Amino acid sequence: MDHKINDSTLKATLLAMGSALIITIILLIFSSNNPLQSIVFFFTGPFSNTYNFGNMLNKAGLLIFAGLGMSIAFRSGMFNLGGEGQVYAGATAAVLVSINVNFPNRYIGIISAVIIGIISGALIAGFSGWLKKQWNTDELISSFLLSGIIIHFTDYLISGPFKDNSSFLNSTVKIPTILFIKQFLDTSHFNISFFIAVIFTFLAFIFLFKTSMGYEIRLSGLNRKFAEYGGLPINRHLIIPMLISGGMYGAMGSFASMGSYHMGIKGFTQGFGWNGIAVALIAGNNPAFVIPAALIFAYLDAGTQVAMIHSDLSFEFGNLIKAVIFFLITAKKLNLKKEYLYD
Amino acid sequence: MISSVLFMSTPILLAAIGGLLTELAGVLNIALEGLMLIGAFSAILITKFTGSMFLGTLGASLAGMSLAYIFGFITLRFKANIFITGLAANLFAVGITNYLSSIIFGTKGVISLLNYSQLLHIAGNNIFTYIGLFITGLSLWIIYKTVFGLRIRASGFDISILKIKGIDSYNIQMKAILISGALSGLGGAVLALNIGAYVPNMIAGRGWIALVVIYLGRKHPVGILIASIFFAATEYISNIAQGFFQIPSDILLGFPYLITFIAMVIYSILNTRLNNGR
Repeated sequence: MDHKINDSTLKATLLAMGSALIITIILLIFSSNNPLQSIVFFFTGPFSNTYNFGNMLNKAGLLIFAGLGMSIAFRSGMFNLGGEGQVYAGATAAVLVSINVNFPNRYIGIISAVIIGIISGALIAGFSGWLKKQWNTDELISSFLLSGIIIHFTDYLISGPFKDNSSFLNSTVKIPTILFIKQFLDTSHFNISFFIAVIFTFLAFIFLFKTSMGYEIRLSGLNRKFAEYGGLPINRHLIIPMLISGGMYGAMGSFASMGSYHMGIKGFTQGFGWNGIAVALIAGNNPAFVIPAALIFAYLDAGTQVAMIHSDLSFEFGNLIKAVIFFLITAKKLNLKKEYLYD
Repeated sequence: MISSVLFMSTPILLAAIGGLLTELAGVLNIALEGLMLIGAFSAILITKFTGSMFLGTLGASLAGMSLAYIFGFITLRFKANIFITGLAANLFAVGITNYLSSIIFGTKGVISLLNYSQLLHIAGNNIFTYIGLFITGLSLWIIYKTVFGLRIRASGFDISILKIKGIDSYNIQMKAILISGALSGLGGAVLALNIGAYVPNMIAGRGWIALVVIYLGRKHPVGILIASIFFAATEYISNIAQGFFQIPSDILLGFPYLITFIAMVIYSILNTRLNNGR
């Protein structure tokens, strides 16, 4: 089975993002006691102070990692549906390493923890790629199921053997203060991971468009049979894109835990994996557009968060907004009239 | 024991039979999980307000069909990518149940029926067990003995056959998607009405299990029935094992995913061997 994802058209992207915006505003109007104020908070909230602004940028940075990884996977025709588990595993692996290993200094400590997080994510996703290569196991379903296993196992680690019993939260103990990634803007979570994400964007662009492996990956994504007849080692291109997308989810997770939360909290990366897919699709699976796509998505996310804090709303918008984006963004024909038989 | 395993297999069986029709029609339906969730929520919502489990069950099917319609319309008419729209349907189901639950009941947690009566049993078996078996038989007849079934199979085999014959493929695939919505909604209703409550995450991967069951059952209703019973049996055994070994609840929640994953890998290994042998 082929899971080719065509690059989204500009029209569909605008429609998807516009609809997501309109639905958010409608939900705010219908469920807030003071709709006008909620809408104002929604639009201006992310810019209202350095704390909100810094958090939005930080979120965007994390989204860039996941968006880059998913773009490369989609370009290769592989579908990694296990981002949720890979982020969570990456985040938790980084925390567990930080808590349990005595590092000689903070740089070695932080870098090792992040790399362990990246490797955890990469191996989980890579396993699905390997199964596909070996026995043609559908990677879309296998990566999702594997993610389900990993999520519950990680839940168990955090609320079982590694639980901090002195805390009210279902969480691990904090990582040593020395291993915190330094935060720049006031008390916001904004840190160096944003700039690392920007550097990764350049690397991903060069990898995909300027190297022979990137060319081969794109070619196998466009037409796997053609690539095979052309003598390309297509089996390799089943595993490498999965390793990359899983690794980027791992990076997202480990930077989130080392830079923002400083511990493993049960379920704290929930939704991160779906966001990665959203960002890749908004960017048309092109690393060059991943930064603006991540910024737009982070703005939408931050806006709803600020609107929620300042109002009486108690539910999550996240899933509905993502649903609207996912419904429309890959649309190829946007006419409502029925056309059939010969199209 | 046999009757409880049969009953536990029913939600998966219903969703898988619906998924089989879309699969045969050439549409891989990863939205089953979300369709079941909408069904479970609607069943409790409607039963709570009307006091009738029958209306609740009917409403659950209709709710499943409605979401399936949105999913099908966008996928088929707008030519959108079916995996992304399927993902959208799953997230939409989580979001909308969460939203409605918050504004109607003021909670994001468990919603239980106050005066809840046990589901009807006939000759020791749950009424839904019979419904599940009846629908499996019915699907056998529809797929292999009717014109509609033939067209569904043709649509999955090579959609251009329908075009050459002048048959509207949109119509055929859409009907398959709507039926899968109704059956998955029904499956969700069975889960919720059995315990008289809606619990977030209560589907717990059963929609995905149903998807794997379609393959394990070799895309045939009888095979699907056997595969569903297999998964229900492992669920039954793990429930019993829980009593003996005090397995942590998080591990227990991950168990269905593990079994499904292993079953899927074994299936693909055997499948590769078979194909290589030919």
